[in-house]
Amino acid sequence: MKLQTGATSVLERTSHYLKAGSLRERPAWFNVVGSNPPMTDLTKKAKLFQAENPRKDPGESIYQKKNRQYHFNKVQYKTRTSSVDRKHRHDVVSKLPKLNFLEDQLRDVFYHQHPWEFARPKVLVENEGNDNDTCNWSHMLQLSKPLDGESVVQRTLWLLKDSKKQKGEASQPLSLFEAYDKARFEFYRLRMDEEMSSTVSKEESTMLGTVFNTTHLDWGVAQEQQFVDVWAQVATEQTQIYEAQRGGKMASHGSMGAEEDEAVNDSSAWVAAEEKVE
Amino acid sequence: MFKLVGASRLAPVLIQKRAISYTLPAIKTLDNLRSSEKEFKGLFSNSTVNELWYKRGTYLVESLNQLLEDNNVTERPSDLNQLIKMTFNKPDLYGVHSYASMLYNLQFYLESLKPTVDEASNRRVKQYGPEELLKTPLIAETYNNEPTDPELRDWINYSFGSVAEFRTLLLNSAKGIKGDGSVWLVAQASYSDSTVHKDENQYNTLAVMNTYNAGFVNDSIRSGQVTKLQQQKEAKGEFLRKQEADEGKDTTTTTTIDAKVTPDSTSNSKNGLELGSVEEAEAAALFMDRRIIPLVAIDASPRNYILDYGVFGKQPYLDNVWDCIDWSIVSERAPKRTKPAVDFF
Repeated sequence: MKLQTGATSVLERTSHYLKAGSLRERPAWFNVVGSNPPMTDLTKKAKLFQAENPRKDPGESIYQKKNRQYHFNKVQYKTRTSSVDRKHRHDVVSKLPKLNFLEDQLRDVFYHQHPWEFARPKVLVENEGNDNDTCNWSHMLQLSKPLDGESVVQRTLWLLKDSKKQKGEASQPLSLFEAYDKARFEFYRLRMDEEMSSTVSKEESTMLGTVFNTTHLDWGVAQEQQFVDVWAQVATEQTQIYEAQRGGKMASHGSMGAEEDEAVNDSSAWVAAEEKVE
Repeated sequence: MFKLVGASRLAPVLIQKRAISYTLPAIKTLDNLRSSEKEFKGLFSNSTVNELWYKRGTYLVESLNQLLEDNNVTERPSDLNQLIKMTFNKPDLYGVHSYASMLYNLQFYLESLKPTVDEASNRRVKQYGPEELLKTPLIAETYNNEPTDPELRDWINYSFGSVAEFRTLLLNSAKGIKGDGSVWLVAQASYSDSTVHKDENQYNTLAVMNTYNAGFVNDSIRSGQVTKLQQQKEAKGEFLRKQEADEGKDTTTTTTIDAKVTPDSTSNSKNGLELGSVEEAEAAALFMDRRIIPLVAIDASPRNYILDYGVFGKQPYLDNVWDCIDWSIVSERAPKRTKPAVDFF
């Protein structure tokens, strides 16, 4: 996609429109933006070529005079990118640097070992993107965050860092494997605790007379069931008709009587069914 | 005051005074602490023991006696369990039932404990702040004060997998209780085994269960409760319909819900060819295999830990209770274990 630079020149364009008469009234923001013009250009630019000592863009060398001239009486121009240039473009110009984090590896291991952790609902939205700053990983449970796989990852890193700090106190620093295992087992303990707590809560409140509402899932199933019931009825009839027809063709099955008559006007079975539901 | 029926530690037995009123039973460990004004090592301070057992216990006994008096209950068995069973199906004696059951639970709990010499648990008896809620649990596989009796250990391993797993389940169940309640280790007789050997109960598994407020463990007396309610409802419906028939016409507008519902259900159930509903089957079999003997109780109600450990001290309190469980008493209470003829493990 072409780089979109129009956003910063909105004032300029609007004044052109006003002059040309395609806009009749000044927009309400016109004076405000005029006196406080946008200072930042938000368009993305290739960093490699606009930094202080930019690399030479191979594209720039096109249509430049070549230094080496093979024919003395002709000026030579470079008219297309060479394969070297193209290779260069793919490798250096547009390639994103590969980001490697230990966290990602730990996440990968944890979620491969515990695939059902993905099934738990999770909020991915953060207000300011610094939610991890409010966490203190010297303990696994956090006030601002539910217990999940990410807790194990962060706690592992904390344990690693902490064990290195305490190196002087005659304790061996933990290996990554040990730290991960420790965090994992703490996680299991807390999950057990959580699960038991919810089970007991349910039992306790049931004993005190709570009646739990139907869940959304139950409601959905009930809605579906209305149609399934009708369908079952229709299907039964259709099956009878089908079998009766088959019976007509196969003498061994015998009966071809009243049921065959029904088969003639079976076209409106679903219409009738829908009316019943409504 | 006449003969005290068995001051045994195995089952709480109330002392009966002239068949008139109950008195607070004696718990040896607690009585010693009271006279020497020492604390319950590793669990409670002296004042808390006083509060939990002597004050509350006395309150429960007095209330129980008062209610028995008010309701003119003359038949007062010396065994508290008997009283609980007797009053279970009598709604007007609900209060008696509750107090008796609460007293039984409390006594059972306190009798399962002994002071510990462990310094770590002694150090844990203190007030805790909110940071305790976020504390990371221990991930040890062995703990202090594990049962040493090989038979009991074996049984625990058979039922729960390991002692550590059992401890986690027991303490987590206790921790999950939000209001008043206790968690119990019980020996359970399975239905199939008990039907084969009709004369004696076959206890083959241990289980952990919770009771809330004045709940009691051995709920085999609940058997048939649902069926009975159902019958009552049917009888009521029958009565109403009869009344309507007697009155004759235009009674349709005054029919109650019960009367409307019952005709279908009764006519269905009377048809001998039909299977009953799932609910009926459940109601019939729900408590049939309930043969349960309590072995340990842990009272998880807030009153037990608030005094010594503070509002946030439930977990350390429970850890300490584990350290104070007297496993020799548990072994004594345990019934004979029946091993299954075929082991599928």
